[in-house]
Amino acid sequence: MPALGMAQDTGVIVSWRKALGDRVDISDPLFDVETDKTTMEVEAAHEGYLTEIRADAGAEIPVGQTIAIIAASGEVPAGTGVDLVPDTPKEPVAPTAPNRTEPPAVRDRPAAPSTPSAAPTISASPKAKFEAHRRGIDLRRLVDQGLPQPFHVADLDRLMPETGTAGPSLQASLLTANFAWPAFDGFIVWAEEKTGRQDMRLHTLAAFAAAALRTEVRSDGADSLAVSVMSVEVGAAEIILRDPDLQGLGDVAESAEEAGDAKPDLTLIDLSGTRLVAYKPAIWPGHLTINITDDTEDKGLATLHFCEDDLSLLAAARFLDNFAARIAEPVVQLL
Amino acid sequence: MREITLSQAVNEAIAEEMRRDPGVIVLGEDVAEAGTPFKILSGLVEEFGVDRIVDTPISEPGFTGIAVGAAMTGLRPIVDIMFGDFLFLVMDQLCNQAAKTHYMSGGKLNVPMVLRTNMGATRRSAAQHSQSLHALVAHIPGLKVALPSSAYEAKGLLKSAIRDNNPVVIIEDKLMYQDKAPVPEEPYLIPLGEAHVLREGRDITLVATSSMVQVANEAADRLSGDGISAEVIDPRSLVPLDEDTILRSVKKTSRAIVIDEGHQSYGVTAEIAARIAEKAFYHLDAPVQRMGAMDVPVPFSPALEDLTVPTAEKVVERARKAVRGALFHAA
Repeated sequence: MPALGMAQDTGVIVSWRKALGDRVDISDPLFDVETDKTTMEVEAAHEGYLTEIRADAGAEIPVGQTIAIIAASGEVPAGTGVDLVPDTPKEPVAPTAPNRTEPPAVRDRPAAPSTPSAAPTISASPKAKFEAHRRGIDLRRLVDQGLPQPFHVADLDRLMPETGTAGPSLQASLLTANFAWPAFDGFIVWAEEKTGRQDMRLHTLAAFAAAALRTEVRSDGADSLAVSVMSVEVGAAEIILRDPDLQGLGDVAESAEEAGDAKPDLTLIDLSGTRLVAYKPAIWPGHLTINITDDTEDKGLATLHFCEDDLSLLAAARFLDNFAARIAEPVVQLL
Repeated sequence: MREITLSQAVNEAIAEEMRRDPGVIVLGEDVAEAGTPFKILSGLVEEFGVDRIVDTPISEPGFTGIAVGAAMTGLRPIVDIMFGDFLFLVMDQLCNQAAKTHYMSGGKLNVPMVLRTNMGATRRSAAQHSQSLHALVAHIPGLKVALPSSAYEAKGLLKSAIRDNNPVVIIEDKLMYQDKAPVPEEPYLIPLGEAHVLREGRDITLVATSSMVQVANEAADRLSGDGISAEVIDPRSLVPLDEDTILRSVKKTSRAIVIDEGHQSYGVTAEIAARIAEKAFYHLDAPVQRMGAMDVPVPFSPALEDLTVPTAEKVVERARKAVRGALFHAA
């Protein structure tokens, strides 16, 4: 039974389009399946002969369970027929009928936890299920981590990043650039003297980031850019700077507005001047994030979290390099 | 702002409306000279006379029926039912007549009457003088039902009820008659169907009615000591119910406890909890909890009576459990 929707547990076979022993070509309509949302036609993914049908029309079958076999030869095994009893939606359907003598048909999916028909129901609050769906998190990962059920939203936040291969597209990619501080530090001393302001450092970083983003990613230019800023020294200001790169020196603060419900295009977290070296949000926040940290005495690191579905690696690389170059040579920004 | 008792607030509301509208009259047992057993109406007969503050014989069905007729023919009667438990006596006049007259007359007749009575246990008044029967009337289409939770609400809601062109049942908690609250000197109305958010919170919504609002508030105080931020909402009227305010809150906090002094089964808590479950289901991170009075006749024994009503301790216990994600029942 194919998964036709993200939250689908089972599907009801409405009708078979092919009969036992029929020749099947790729893309031939094979059967109709009804989920809680819709009824869809499922096409054959392989060519061959339909040699076994294990679920009759009307049966509700867990996702992942074998419901038919397409074999290279057209020989229909003796005794083959529908052996899943339809209309038993409340009872978990056994992978094989008890009286079968053949090997279990689940041999092609040996891993027990990934076989939905064998997995017990996962208990989670409605909100946890909804949030898991929204964030693209498979609740079975929580089971695998041994967290107690029922799951709540807080458990989703505790979920460790998936090990091994890149997980779902909601995982952020990381890109890091290094740069030299001295020119920037000198620039800030000069700027603070000139403007009489004490907040030039964070505001200048925000302006550079917005300028780099506008140059490399938003070259159409028309859109307004919102940058939310935070630093350990200044605090987690719930403030969004609107187009900080388009403001005059010392006027950036004028563009500050209450964050409210507004979504920033970019969050800038300045951890330089502290012992902190890395921060990664547990959940992709839905927008770009740059962390600034110290590396060696006069070198800094800028780490960009981005989602490759939204921003290509090439664009991200150009953006971050542009940003780092502006910090390394701040005078360029003024020209 | 000056503080007055709930009983004074009710008295003021009636006096102001009687001065404003000569059609407003009061009918009930011991309402004139005696000013009711709770001394709520003291002084009114002196100002308005026995033609407008009418002492009736001991016959609730009789004077409630008179009020329904008087309302149909142009007066705005306020019926005083001495104890909420006597609502059972006036069910026909209230639910079969008053509630349905506007509908069954095709809109030709209105019944602009108010029925004032009380609720609330722990007054050691035993099973026939301690009941909280608002769910019974809230069930009947055509009746509006309001439950004031303080002197401020009592005055504003009663004045709106008297001006309403439909029958309104107002049920005060008899244990709160001497409770003081700030009430403005100048006249004001509180519309029916507008909930009051007493305190905003992040982690759990406590929906509470009448005296249970105090219980919820006390629970919220204690929970804040544990770092749990509770939002307290007083619907103020059950019919109409300000569902939007409740749902908005639950969508924010993801958890809810509904607290009311009526019996829990088939009661107000069940109705509000069901609406939350129906309309904010995908926002819930814990089962919606009902906390009503125990499903027993209210005991006369003080020790037993105190066990039958929701308390702040019990609310705190449930709220902590919900917030930490504990199991309420086997999944």
